[in-house]
Amino acid sequence: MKSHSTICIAVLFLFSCGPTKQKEELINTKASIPETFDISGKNLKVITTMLNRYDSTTSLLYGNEIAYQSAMQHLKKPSLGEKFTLITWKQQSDKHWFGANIPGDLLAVEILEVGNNQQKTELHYRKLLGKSLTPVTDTLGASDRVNFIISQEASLTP
Amino acid sequence: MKKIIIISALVLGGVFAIMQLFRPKIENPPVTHDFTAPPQVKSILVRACYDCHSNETNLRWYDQIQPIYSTVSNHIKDGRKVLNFSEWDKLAKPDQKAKLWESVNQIEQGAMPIASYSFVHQDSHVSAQDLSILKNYLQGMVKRDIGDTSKLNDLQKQYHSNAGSDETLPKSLNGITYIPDYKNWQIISTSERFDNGTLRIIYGNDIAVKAVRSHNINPWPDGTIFAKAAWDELEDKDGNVKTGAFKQVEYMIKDSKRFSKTNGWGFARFKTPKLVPYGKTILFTQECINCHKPMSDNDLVFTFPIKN
Ligand code: HEC
Ligand code: HEC
Repeated sequence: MKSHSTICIAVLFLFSCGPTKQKEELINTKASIPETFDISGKNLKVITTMLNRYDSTTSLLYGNEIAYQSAMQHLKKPSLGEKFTLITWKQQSDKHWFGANIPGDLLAVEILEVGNNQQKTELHYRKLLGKSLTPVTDTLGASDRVNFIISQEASLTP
Repeated sequence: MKKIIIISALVLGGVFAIMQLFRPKIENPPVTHDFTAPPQVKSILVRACYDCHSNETNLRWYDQIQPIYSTVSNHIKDGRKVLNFSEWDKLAKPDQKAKLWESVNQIEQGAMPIASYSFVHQDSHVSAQDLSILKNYLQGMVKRDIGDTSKLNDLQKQYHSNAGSDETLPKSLNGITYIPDYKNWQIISTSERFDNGTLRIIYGNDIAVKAVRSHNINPWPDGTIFAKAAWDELEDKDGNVKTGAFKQVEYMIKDSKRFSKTNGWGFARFKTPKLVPYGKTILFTQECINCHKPMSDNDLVFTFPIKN
């Protein structure tokens, strides 16, 4: 009798400890943006999303109100006071939906600010790499990236 | 003691016999247009799904015994209503494709075939190999439209039409009003849907974003709202894909009291820049729930949220 109840309890235990999902697993930690950067606290709006088929990367472009308005109007040239932030991830397949790719490892955060110096437009471009957000000192290719960011159009949102 | 056992057995036997008299008839209506696919693909679906999702139901003798019979006949009735491979032409081409992707996903997440059915019908089991045959078939149907001019035109048309100038906000049949403010929200994630060639942004209101930060997402707190916007994919020759014409925005609003009938979530979809509410009857939410159902362990939410 005693061994019976022990078995019963053991079986109950097995079921109760079965595959219950941990809350942690659901958060996309790979793709998460370090809290120190605080992107959602920066008062930026989402301008658009884009991806590159050959690199298997996906990005989100953010901007302050001025940048958002320029992108809405397809200005495609820098205006004073604009601040853009472009976040790029490696894509990964979505474990919940065969047919979708979602952000994977965080690859880079690029920041473009349009200032001026004695009436002349000045572009400040910075690139931070990986989850550690390590600043890139090499400026090779920076002007291409600036053009890429400036030329983006806002997604149509009714 | 013995007497009691005999009497109980007789009563139970009687009830069992009487139950056999009640049997709703399961008809096999004519097949108007059967689903077509390569034989190795089709045979899997016929074997595992056709009993409930076609007009060629083939009940075995053990399905005919009550009370199993009632359960099975309900499954067939409901199953045919949402997906019927024998009336495939009743679906528009894009809807056919969408149902197939949904089917394979329901199999992969273990939601179909229904567990109680496959327990009895061992032959309906979809093996890992079967699943990869189905997936390869779907993957083969994905096509890339590079520099697609008709998609570009669709976007241009949307830019030049001044839709949404109407002052009153549209409302879906279950009483959810379109929420224009999603554009100012932060994100939960993005996704590329290569099954239907769209890019998506999943926005979350403040409560949603905070819930992610504090890992309080299963269940999501009351007041959470998701807005998922979808656009055509526009691809250029360098493989850059950007957003094209606006397709729709969909909401999920968590309010466990107000939406207790639909698992605590209020569902709504507004299509095209005109924001036409989706659904012919209030039952449209069943469609949302049926496809989201494999996520019941995650409060019906597919997206893996990004902390930001
Ligand atoms: C025993 C009957 C039964 C079998 C077998 C079965 N289904 Fe279902 N299926 C149902 C019922 C009933 C529903 C309605 C929703 C629910 O109750 O989950 C459904 C719903 C679905 C849906 C959701 C449709 C929608 O848009 O609402 C899909 C997709 C689906 N089944 C695919 C499949 C596939 C693929 C198979 C074979 C691998 C399969 N089913 C086998 C009974 C069945
Ligand atoms: C055929 C399957 C399917 C149907 C039907 C469906 N959804 Fe979804 N839904 C998805 C998938 C897959 C995702 C994950 C995001 C993505 O990649 O698009 C999703 C995500 C969402 C999200 C973001 C939150 C989350 O769960 O990830 C909302 C909001 C949403 N759907 C609303 C709706 C509404 C409203 C309806 C009904 C009008 C609906 N859905 C019907 C498949 C479906």
